[in-house]
Amino acid sequence: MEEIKQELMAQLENPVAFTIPVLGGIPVTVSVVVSWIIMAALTLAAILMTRNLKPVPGRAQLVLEMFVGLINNFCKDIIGPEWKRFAPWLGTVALYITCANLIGLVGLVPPTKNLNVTAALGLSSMAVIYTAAFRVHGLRGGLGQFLKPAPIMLPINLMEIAIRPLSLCMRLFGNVLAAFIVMELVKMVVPVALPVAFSLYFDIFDGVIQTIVFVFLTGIFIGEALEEE
Amino acid sequence: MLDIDLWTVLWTGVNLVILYLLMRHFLFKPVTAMMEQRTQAIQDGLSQAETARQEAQALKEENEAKLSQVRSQADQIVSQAKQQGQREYDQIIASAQAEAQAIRSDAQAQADAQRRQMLQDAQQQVAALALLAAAKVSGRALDADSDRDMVEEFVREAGDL
Repeated sequence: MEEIKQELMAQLENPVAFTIPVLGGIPVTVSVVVSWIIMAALTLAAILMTRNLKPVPGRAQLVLEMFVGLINNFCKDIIGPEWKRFAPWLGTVALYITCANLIGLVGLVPPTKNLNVTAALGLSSMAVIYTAAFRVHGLRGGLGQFLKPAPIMLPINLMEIAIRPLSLCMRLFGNVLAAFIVMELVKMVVPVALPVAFSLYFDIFDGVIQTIVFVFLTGIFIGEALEEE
Repeated sequence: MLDIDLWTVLWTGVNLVILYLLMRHFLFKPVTAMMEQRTQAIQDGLSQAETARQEAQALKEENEAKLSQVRSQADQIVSQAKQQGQREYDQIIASAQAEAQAIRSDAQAQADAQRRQMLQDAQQQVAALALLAAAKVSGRALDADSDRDMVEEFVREAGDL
């Protein structure tokens, strides 16, 4: 039992891959390196797949258009007329979280298993949401959004600034962490065949669901922030 | 496991911004533009088709109007020709009838004149015969104009009877 615990704790560490020797040494964790790999793969795929877009789409282009159309329509529904400014952000987050959740399948450590990565995701989504409010409504209108639906809601709205990123961050982290631990335990008990079945649920299904939840909530928050009188 | 590592937060934030810029440039912008271009092309095609259809419809209506106009003109021409023909026919018939009537009445008049002439001649001859007979009977010549007038008067009265 103690051995299993040791093993698990070791798996849950977020090891530093290397350190950049400036400013007294900047540590780069494995999560960040894996993120770079994901970014490189996504960018390469995007460049290759959008190299010659045609009005009559081929098979690869159809897949791209399905994805982009899905994100665009989702943003149109939830955010409204300003959707064009936010669709690329939500699409990027969706791609990144999906890849980060699923990259465990190819043997790399999922970056979303690192609390700091999900924290950054939550914080940047918050940044997008509140910048959107101020850019669309102006300074006064942006501040006015905190008095909605009634001025008495001000404390709650202020608390939400912290609660929303925290909940986004913790939900994603908790789900991925739980899936990771369950998978590790299953692998320890039955190393062959059975983990595949569990992996379908915990890695793929849950990974995709958490992506959808994260993007959906961010979209709803943006739509709320942009709401007119 | 739950230790906060601000460098990773920062790295991830930077990563996300870079990935966002890359994806926007290489994926979302071109694909969205292509989709909108296609939507535009389809809309253009549909509106063009609609315009063409309306033009064809207008042309058809115009042609139909022209056709009916031409048809009514043709009808008019035919009916005019018919009327004209009828008039001429009537005229010819009427003039022929009038001519026939004239001829007939001429003939009638001629016949009447001849008959009267013959009657007159006959009366004269009868009168002459009667005069002759009377002269024979009376033994004297009755050839004075007054005698003849008297006999002709008698014959006429007898003829009238």
